[in-house]
Amino acid sequence: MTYKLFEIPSKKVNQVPEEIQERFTKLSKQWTQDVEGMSSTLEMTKHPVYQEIVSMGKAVIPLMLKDLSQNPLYWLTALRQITQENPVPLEHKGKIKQMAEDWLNWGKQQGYLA
Amino acid sequence: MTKAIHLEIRYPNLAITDYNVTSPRSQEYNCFAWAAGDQARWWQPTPEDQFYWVEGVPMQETLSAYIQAYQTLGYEPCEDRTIESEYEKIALYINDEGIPVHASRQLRSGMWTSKLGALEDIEHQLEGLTGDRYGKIGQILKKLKS
Repeated sequence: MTYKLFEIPSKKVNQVPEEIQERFTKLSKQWTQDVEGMSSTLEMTKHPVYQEIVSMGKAVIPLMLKDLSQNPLYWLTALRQITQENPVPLEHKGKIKQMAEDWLNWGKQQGYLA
Repeated sequence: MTKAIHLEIRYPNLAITDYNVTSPRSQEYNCFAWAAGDQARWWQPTPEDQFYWVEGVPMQETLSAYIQAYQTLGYEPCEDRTIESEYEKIALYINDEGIPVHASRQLRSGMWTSKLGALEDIEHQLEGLTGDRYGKIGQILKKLKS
């Protein structure tokens, strides 16, 4: 079976191909610069660069999970859009650190994190 | 007064009005929560129902929905943005499409306090945040102080 570059199902950060890590880092910096200070997460996440990151698919999940400790807000929407899953219980809605923690626990269960 | 060049770049009117940075950065709450006095949650009526939104209020990014959300806290629309000692006030900023993109709360001094997305809190003049990023003032709300 052959995969397109961004469909490679990497599970851990150190298994993500270097070119994908570099592209993720570059796009993340660009997106952060463009949206910092926006109050609406809808506005932030419909940004074309964010959607470009989302289009990289499951290969960037380990990178997003790794970044959650620094930026608990940024990847909550992308993770949900990519995985079509929602590990956040109702009582954690809007509580950003707890939402990030829920995703980190999901990442451990799915084998993305040690 | 604490100034911040990275804020003046994003909100150029800050450079020509009075403002003061009053907190470190935080991704734990946004302006809509801060205006309501909530520092524990990110308020946003997202279609995916992902963040906190007031129960019973339409899950829509419309001025009407935001007004309804603050009405649950006792605020009502008004025209007067000046300080009135018996009232607390919130200003909703809207973009060119009329969508709320920011909220500020008035302080006893007459200045306003804002959380700037995932950046810092500031005290500022209302006009200090109008412009490309936060548009213009779309609605003032007020409620009697308790």
